[in-house]
Amino acid sequence: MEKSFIQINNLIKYFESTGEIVYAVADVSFTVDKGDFVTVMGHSGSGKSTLLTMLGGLSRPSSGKIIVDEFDIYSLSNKQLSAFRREYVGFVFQSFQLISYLTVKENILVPLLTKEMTDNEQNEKAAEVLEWVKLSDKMNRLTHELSGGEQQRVAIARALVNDPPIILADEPTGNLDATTGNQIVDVLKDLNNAGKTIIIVTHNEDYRFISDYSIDLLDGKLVSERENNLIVINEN
Amino acid sequence: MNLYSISFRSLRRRKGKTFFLIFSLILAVSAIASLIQVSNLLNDNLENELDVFGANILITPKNNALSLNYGGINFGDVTYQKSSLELSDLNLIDSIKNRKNLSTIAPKFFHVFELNNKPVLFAGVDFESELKLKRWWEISGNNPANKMETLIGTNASKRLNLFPGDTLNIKDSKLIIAGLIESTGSQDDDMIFADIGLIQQLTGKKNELSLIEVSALCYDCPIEEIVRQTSEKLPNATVSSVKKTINSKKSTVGKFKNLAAGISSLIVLISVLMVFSNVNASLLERTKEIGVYKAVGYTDSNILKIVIAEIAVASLFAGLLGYLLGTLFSSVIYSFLTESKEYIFVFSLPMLFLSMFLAVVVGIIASLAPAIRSSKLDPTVAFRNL
Ligand SMILES: Nc1ncnc2c1ncn2[C@@H]1O[C@H](COP(=O)(O)OP(=O)(O)O)[C@@H](O)[C@H]1O
Ligand SMILES: [Mg+2]
Repeated sequence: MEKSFIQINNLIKYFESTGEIVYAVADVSFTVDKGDFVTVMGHSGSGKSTLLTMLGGLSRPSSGKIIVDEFDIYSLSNKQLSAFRREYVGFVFQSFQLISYLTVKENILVPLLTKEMTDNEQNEKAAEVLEWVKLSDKMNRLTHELSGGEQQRVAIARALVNDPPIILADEPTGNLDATTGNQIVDVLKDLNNAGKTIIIVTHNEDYRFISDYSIDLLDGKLVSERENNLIVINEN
Repeated sequence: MNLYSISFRSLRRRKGKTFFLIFSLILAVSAIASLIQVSNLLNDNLENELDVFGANILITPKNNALSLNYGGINFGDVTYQKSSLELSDLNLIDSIKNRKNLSTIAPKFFHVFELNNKPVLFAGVDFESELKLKRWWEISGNNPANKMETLIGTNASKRLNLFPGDTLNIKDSKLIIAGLIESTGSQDDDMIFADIGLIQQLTGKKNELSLIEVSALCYDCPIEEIVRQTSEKLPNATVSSVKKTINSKKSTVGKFKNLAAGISSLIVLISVLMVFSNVNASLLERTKEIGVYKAVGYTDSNILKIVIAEIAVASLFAGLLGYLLGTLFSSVIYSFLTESKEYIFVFSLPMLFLSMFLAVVVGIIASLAPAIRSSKLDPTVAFRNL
């Protein structure tokens, strides 16, 4: 059988605070195939964010492995891990995390600045992703002049600009009203249709049913994983 | 756009923070620049005052009776001495290691001529340096304007009955008394001062010098050091120092310099602390931003570059402004210290560069620790909501 695009094997992450050990992620294993749309669900404090940061190469697990595209990513050096994040992963955060003193376009260009690129190449890239999120007309605004939904679209554009195969979104609709949230999920769904592997943390049960696959965490443990397409097919 | 664009945008659009950072550094730079410049101005001022006291180094030919008698009355055997000082020795003096400390070099050539059967001592001098050296001279009449014009001492004037405007004949030359030197109480009162070239020419001794008076100010080294350097260049001459009251003034300026150094270090320390706490607070505010940089693939050193560039640019500005402000302060402090009404502005490019360099060094040292800490920040902070 062909190896999965992302393999998570016996992943454990614990924190020590005031002498007590808290298992944020407690022995989790699953796989994600290329092009999957995955939802991660669970109540607050169940370890969703911790899992996502480890998936994105941002925090080293206490034990266990994450293999992406055949790279055991935590066997890489810090510098190689930076390169992994740049080439493989685009992050979208709940509170957008745009840089307040940069314009929309400048925010989007941030991930490109460690690469050798001409101004023209940068402009083309920016124009391309701005088109995706339909914000071409606002590229010279400062981000606080934008609505929440628009700001999250800027964040998605920033996550896309390096053309990574994986998008990781941590409660991307958490700070938005339902309608705006749905628009954001639509954008992510479009990206998924265009071939991106999407892993999204959410509390919204509705999104479970547009995902290919959903996993549920409880106190750091994986309590269920479902192939949602099968459920949908069965219902039909 | 590149990494440093982030630094520039941050400086430009976070004006309050930028202002405070620059302000902290201006404090240090302007204080140091003004104290250094005041010290320099006081030094120059001291040099001028030194001239008021006259020469402090006397160079005479070895074994010359004249040198022993200078300051006394008897100059009778002056002309019979074989001098070993020559015009070219002036260049040698001007080539010593500490030549920048030499303020005035005044050569002299003495000769006794007869006027109306009375012997008169003529001092051949270079009027420009002689007048600079003897600022206490009060001259009625005019300063010599050309080679043929002379100054006469009070005693000589009375003895010979010669006054400003009178002429006198030496050999075939017609000399004019341009001015009368009011009584000084020194041997100058008994002499006629004339152009050194002329006297040398009239006596046929074109290269000969009787003695050389030098006024020197050596700040960081004793006057003896200049004496030693000069002796080395002029092995055939006796070089001796004349103690002057300038020493006490020197120690006052020296004390000011110590005080200035103390104040400067204190201010630099305060400024370092201000920059540190400012950069520290500013970077703590930006932890999420730095988390984002990590998430999009920046390395620790990419982040360090952004932060340091930002501080370096602000520091360069602070250096420039601090220097200008310091120059302003120094002129005010100087006129206050010297009780003069005049304000002196000295623009010095090396001082400007020094100020900018100093600001960058202080700025970077003060912010290195928080900058490094930020670059190693745990990037998962960006995932915390709010
Ligand atoms: N840096 C940390 N230090 C200590 N405990 C942490 C840290 N990050 C997360 N945790 C703990 O790990 C658990 C899981 O947190 P998190 O992954 O943020 O949950 P979720 O995103 O599902 O709300 C929580 O109990 C949280 O307090
Ligand atoms: Mg979370």
